Amino acid sequence: MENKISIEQELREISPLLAQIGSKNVFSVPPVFFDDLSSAIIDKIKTGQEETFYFSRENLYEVPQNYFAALPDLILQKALAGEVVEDEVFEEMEVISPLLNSISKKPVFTVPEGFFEKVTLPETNVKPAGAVVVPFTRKKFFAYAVAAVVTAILAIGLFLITGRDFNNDQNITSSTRAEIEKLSEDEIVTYLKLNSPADDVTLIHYNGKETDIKKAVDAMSDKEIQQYLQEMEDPGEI
Amino acid sequence: MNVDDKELLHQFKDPVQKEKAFTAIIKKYQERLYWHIRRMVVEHEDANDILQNMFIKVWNSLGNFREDSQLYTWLYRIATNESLTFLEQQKRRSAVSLSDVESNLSNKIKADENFDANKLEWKLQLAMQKLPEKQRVVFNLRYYDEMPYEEMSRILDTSEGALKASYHHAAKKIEDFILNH
Repeated sequence: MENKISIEQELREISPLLAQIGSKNVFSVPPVFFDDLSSAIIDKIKTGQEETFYFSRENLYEVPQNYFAALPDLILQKALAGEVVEDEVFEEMEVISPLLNSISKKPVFTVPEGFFEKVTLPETNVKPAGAVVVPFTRKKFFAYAVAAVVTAILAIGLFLITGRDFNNDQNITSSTRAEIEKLSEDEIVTYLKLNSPADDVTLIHYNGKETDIKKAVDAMSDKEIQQYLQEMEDPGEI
Repeated sequence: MNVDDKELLHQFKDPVQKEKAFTAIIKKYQERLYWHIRRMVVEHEDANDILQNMFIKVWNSLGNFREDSQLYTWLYRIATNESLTFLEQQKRRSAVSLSDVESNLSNKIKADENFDANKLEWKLQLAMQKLPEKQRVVFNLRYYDEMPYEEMSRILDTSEGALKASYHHAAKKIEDFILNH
């Protein structure tokens, strides 16, 4: 347990000045205050007095006479006259600080008499800017340009869709022709024999010239012609 | 607990002796508690209100006092809480900032009929009003009541180390104020 000496020593170490001042009481107390205190407290307890609130709850603010009686009619009048006031600024300040809301906004500063009548606007050399006119033609040009773009997009799209097919057909035809040209006559005849409805080869159209046939027949020997005739039925006149 | 206090508590619990014991308790502790409160709130009328409220609370709850601490520790705790409650209510009611409350208390000091600005004791009082409330309590208990940190710790429910630091800072602040004013 600390003793008084150690407490004084501690204070001297922290602040010699305070240690020097001492702990003398400077406040005064009414005479006989302490003599009467206990009986005052006991009397309060006996009379059932509860602890007193330190600050009165009494309203400090005054309200004009008949204020609340007249208030409903006043509000109704304003509402009917379309004067409903929605003062956002007032309501905002009511939340932040009701005290400030109660202070009048009347300006406190004075203005010399006739000040505002004498005020003149300074002259300037700046020409007022002219109104900006947007030409109608410019708008028309943009409309046409947009239409052209849309048309082009549609055309390109169409071309891409249909052009691809046409080219495909072209490609198919040209490649088929090339393949057919590579085939020999024998292969063509064989194909026709297998696929043609007629068995008689003589129905096959020969595009060759008549003189070529005569030369071919003249080139045949008698024996070959005899053999041919034996194999074939009477074909009629050659 | 000292013998006197134990005896007083025992008498208080006896309905026949209750009032007599209570009066004895008031007379034993009234001055110490009064000055403890007065140094916090400055004005006599405020200190009187707080002190009386405090003892009414003691009358209502002394029967349930568990005796796990000294009686005066318990009394000091009630007095401190009542003083802090008063200052808090004063602050709220005035709707002013903390610095305005400090200047309000300083003005009350200056309004005292015996106030003398040249005297160090008065300067000390002015300096004390600049301290935060709880730090002011610590300084009062140590500087004026010479209370050990161990007891102070039970009253304020704060560690001894924190109280030592608080007291140290308070003394330095007061010293600076006195030297510069």
